[in-house]
Amino acid sequence: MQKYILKRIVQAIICLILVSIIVFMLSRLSGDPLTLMMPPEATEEDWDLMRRQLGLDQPIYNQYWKFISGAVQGDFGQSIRWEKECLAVFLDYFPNTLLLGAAAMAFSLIIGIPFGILSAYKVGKWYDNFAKLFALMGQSFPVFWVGIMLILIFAVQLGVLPTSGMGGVQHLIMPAFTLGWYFAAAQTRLTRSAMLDVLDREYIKMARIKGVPEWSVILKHAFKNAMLPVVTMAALNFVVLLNGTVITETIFAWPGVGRLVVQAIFSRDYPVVQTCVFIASGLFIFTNLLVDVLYAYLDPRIRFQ
Amino acid sequence: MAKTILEVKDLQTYFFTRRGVVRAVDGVSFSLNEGETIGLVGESGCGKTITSLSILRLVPQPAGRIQGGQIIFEGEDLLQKSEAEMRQIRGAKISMILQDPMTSLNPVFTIGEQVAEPIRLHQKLRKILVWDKVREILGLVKIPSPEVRMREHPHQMSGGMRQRIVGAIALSCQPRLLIADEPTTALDVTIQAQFLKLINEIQRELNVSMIMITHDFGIVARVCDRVAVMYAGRIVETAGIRELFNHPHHPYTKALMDSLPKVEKKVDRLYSIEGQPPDLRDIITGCAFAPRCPRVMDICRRQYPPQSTVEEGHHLSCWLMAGQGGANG
Amino acid sequence: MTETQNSPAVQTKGRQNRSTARKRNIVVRLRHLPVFSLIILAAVIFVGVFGPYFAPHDPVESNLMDAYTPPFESREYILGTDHMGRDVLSRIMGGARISLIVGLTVVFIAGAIGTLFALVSGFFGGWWDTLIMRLTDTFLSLPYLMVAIVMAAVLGANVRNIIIVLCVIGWAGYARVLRSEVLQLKEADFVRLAVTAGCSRTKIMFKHIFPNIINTLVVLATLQLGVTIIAEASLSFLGMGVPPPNPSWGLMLAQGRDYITYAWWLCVWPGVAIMLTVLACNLLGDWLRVRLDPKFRQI
Repeated sequence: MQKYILKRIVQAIICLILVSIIVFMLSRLSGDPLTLMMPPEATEEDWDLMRRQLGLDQPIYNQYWKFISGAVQGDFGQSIRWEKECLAVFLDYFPNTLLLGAAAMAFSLIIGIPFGILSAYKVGKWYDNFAKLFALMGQSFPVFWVGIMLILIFAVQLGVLPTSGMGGVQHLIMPAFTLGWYFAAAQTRLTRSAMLDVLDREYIKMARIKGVPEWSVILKHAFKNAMLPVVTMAALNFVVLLNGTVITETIFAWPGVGRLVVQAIFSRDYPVVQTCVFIASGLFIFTNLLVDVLYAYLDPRIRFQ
Repeated sequence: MAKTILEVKDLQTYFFTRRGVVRAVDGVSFSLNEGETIGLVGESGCGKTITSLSILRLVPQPAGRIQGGQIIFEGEDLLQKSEAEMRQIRGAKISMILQDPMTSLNPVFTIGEQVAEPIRLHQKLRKILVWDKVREILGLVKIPSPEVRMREHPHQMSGGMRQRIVGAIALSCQPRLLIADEPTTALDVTIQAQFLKLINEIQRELNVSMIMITHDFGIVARVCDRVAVMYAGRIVETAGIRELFNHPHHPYTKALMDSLPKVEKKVDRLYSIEGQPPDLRDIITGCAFAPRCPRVMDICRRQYPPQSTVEEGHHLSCWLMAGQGGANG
Repeated sequence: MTETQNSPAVQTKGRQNRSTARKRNIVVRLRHLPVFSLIILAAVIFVGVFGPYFAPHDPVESNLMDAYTPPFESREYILGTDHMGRDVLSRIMGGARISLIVGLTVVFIAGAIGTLFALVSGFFGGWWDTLIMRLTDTFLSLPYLMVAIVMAAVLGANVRNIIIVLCVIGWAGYARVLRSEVLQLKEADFVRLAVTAGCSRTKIMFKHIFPNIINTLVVLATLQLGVTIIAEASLSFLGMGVPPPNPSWGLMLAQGRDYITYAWWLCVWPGVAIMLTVLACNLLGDWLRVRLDPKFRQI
């Protein structure tokens, strides 16, 4: 098992390095990154100044080395637009995204897991068909449309909820629902299939042979086994959710990292963009690693190697 | 006079699938006396497992349905009982052992919890007494150091030990009837004999009646008092084991026995029955074995043979016998 | 009385049973076709290909006199007009073409790349596998939309670049799923037989393994079509996608947002269009997945 964990850690580090290269290359895709960052009215001197300030006159591997060595220590350079360290800018906005993400995740779990269990319990009956329909709808509705429709109904027509911004709970409801909608559907599907898989096993048959009441068969015997894939997928989904807040935050003017990235792109603040993308990828890689290690620990076949 | 504990009368269990109706069990009748072991023998797919699931009313739904017949257990028809009543019977009065010990136990619960569960469900015992009982049962199936084992999980045990635990679970509430569905098929040959001996001992000690489902005549010879041979959803011959081994009458039974390699008899080629068992979706007119029977007659294909008696306790359904001994209703 | 053969009567009955069974099967299969999905997708494809010929109006021509016409009120503008007086229905039809072009191209290219990587990685193993797997993992850990908008901003927003961007982000999904299929197939007996028969490895890869992963690929591609359409719409919604005045569905939604309080239909119709198309893709993908289940392996 140690060997497995070590292997996974090495893989994660390699991925992180590759990600850093990709992120580094992103703003250099169309040649001189400075062209993206300079406003049109800048003079020749402004350009030279900027170039030296950002270290863009150095050879490329030097630039990369500066980037990666800084990143490891948390120094992502200075934001062009704000007078701050990129990391500080990121950290200003991250808690908001975290809040939104947590709310959305909670929503998706509260809806998704019971629906999934119910659906597996009575395959073919109306709860199952309803849950399957819900899952389908959830994954077919584009996020931005859900958000706009919600605004249309609840803010414009009914005037019950605010259209945008951050504030009290009422500001959180629609964004959380919008963001969580897709994942609630995905969670329903996943839970349902994990449950169906488990319900097919011999030990479930044994439980019924023992005379265990059906609710216990489902909730105690089956769900405890299905929980593992459900929980691990939920953890991974959480990170994906966090990284996918761009649209929701834009629609609801929620001051989070997603919106930060869009704003930074429009204000040509590429150091900030790099920071956000890099940290987002890093989070995903880290969570993935954690989940794999957890799985290895719980799967006796790998544990006792 | 031995008491009849189970009487299955004309049981019919069908599966309603998109591709047709599968007549998995099509008119099965047999009876079992107290303390007796009856073997249910036949090829894969002949309906033995479904018969046993029907007795417990655990036929996979919604496709499967018990269409007709009666299952009289201790004087009451199980097919008339409610689901709640059946749940009280399962695990307590009638119990079952499944084939694969590797998948029969729930991986996330300890052995102790799994053995204790039927006891907690069906018997009103105080908590400490429950655990005493668990230890007792584990001792009965000869699990060494039950105290330690109780806290372990299934994956920490070998196949043979797991199957004994499955046996422990099945016997924990001292059922009147135990159904064993090919309990040794997945075990190593060396463990098989041990397990069968153990089950036999416990059975006699607790006076449990048993239905042993198997395709192996060797096992039948070892543990069964009587045998019922099944083919295509019906029972074709029933007899005491001595009688069946010495005087098999039905061509299918004879063919099965001929396929077993014997030490005394040297052959160039092992005998195997020609053809395939029929597709149970088709309605079979006449005897199901007719296409493969070496002694088939015209009437075999037109009408299903009535049950005839060779001698007391030995019945079969075959036109070859129908002339002699008189038909039995 | 010792006949060992079946009489002709029994044989004929058997043959009859088989042909009626076959006919029964075909009818059963037809009845289970996903009619809804196929109709929607056929409509989208039809509109995408032939739309410009029979759209009631020019999608980009503005007609400020008729701006803000609500839907269902005028014969000329069935779904209403937008703030520039453009017919919503015609724009939706134009948007179908864009979504289709982007969607199908990306699915095809990303699918091809992903499949190739999966074949090489799974079949050859060793260093190839390690390298490709690390690449796949890396691309899968990138935040999808963030990277897309950055790339789109850097490269410039037009149809060609969007296709490139979505391919770059999309190939990894195919590679991962198909690689595990290839790994399973590698151990299959028919592959071993081909090796012993002296078949070259490349030939085995394309002739034996590839045809067996087509099922999964088809299901994946169908589902990914929906995902790609949403991705393109998202990019356009954020302003990083197809540039105006092209009638991309996402762009229509973005523009409509500004007028949500008095022209609600500008946001509804494009969304419905996206939703129906993606729904059709998902339904079809699910139906295919069940039909192409390895247990019945047939296409």
